[in-house]
Amino acid sequence: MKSLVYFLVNQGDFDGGWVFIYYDVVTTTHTPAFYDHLVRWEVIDFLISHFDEAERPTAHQQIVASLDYTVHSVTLHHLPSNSHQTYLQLSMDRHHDTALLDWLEERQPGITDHLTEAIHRTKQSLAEELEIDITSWYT
Amino acid sequence: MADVSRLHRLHNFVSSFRDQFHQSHLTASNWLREKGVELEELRHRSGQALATASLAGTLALTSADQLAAQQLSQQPLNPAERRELAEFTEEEYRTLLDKLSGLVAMPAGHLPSEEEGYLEQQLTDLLGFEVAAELEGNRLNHSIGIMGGEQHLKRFPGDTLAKHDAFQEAGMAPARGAFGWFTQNGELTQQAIEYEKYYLAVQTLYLPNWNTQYPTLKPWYEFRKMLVVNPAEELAIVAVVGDAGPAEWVQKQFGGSPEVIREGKIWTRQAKGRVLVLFINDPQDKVPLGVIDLKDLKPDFN
Repeated sequence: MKSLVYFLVNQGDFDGGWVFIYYDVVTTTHTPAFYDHLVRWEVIDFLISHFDEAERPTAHQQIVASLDYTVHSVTLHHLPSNSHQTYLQLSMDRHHDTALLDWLEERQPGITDHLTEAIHRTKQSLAEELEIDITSWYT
Repeated sequence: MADVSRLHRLHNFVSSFRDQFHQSHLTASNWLREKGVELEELRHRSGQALATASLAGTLALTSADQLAAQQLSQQPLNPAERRELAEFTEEEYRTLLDKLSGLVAMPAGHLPSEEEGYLEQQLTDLLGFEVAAELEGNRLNHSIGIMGGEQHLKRFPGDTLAKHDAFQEAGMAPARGAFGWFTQNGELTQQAIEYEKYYLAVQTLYLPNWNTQYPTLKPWYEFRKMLVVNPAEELAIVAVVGDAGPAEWVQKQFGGSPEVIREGKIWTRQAKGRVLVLFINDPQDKVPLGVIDLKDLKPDFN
């Protein structure tokens, strides 16, 4: 993940001077995944807000990685083994595509609920590990 | 130091997930290793391999007639036509701009409810096309806020920064936008180029109904036309929704493409990124993308 970037650019058409433009969202735009809508991202943001600003891009990347591992692990656990290779290939090619979740649901009805629960558990484990109280998000 | 140790703990936590995955799913792990892919890279590399195929078959076929009709409907309204449509006095114009300048300086949120309808109408009259904070029952979490600068987005698999004709210093995001490639039927059309030039990132992922109504909301927001008003510079930009973000902790509510930021003068000393963002009701796709100089729309009393 890239770092925060400042660009010194000529703003002659603005004020005739040079100013810094702050391209901060280099680090924060969201690379989509097929299960994103199962995640309460405001809780993830709350967790990330407990890190120093400079650490947040790394924290974001790491937390998303933990969700990815959770989702793939739970999927492979529930999905019939003869569909594993196809699933992995689809994940390589279409990881962003929500239709992948439909494809999974067709082969393993109820898997969306399993994934939702697992994502929730991972967030709670993360919060415990990081000693951050997230109970208020769920009360 | 507490934060440093927290990051270390996070690294260890993710490592344990990684180890557990490789131990529990040895066959899958080996398959990925043979392909030279780490599981956590899937999110970023997805879609690079397949240029036009869609699992859902979502790329609708458009007939030649439909394309021709679309092109015809995209003929822009010129400033004179817009001015003709506007029933506006000089005093009303100045009052509106002053009002908007004051409102965008307020904390991020919505226009005051008692003024929202009036301001929407004033802007609609001035611009000659309909704008609204809420359209077809959909409303963003903010209509006023701060807009940060985004990078260029990949328009198609294999797109490079060198292929973008302006503001290359902004760089290019490593992955495609949250609403997919800009290409249409696998082709980089003029419209696709324009969409990437004038795209916005809006926080769809934080909408209260996003998680439950995602299947209908995503296509609704995809390339939805919106108006950005920069009252400090008396400019407006017509753009489309092309990405989701920025993350809440960035404390900005919108993102703008390099073209939106630079041409819309979003980050001048006067503007400081403060904007009003509204939906454009443009079912016939008549409103062209790009910058509108509001001063051009001022009534001419000479």
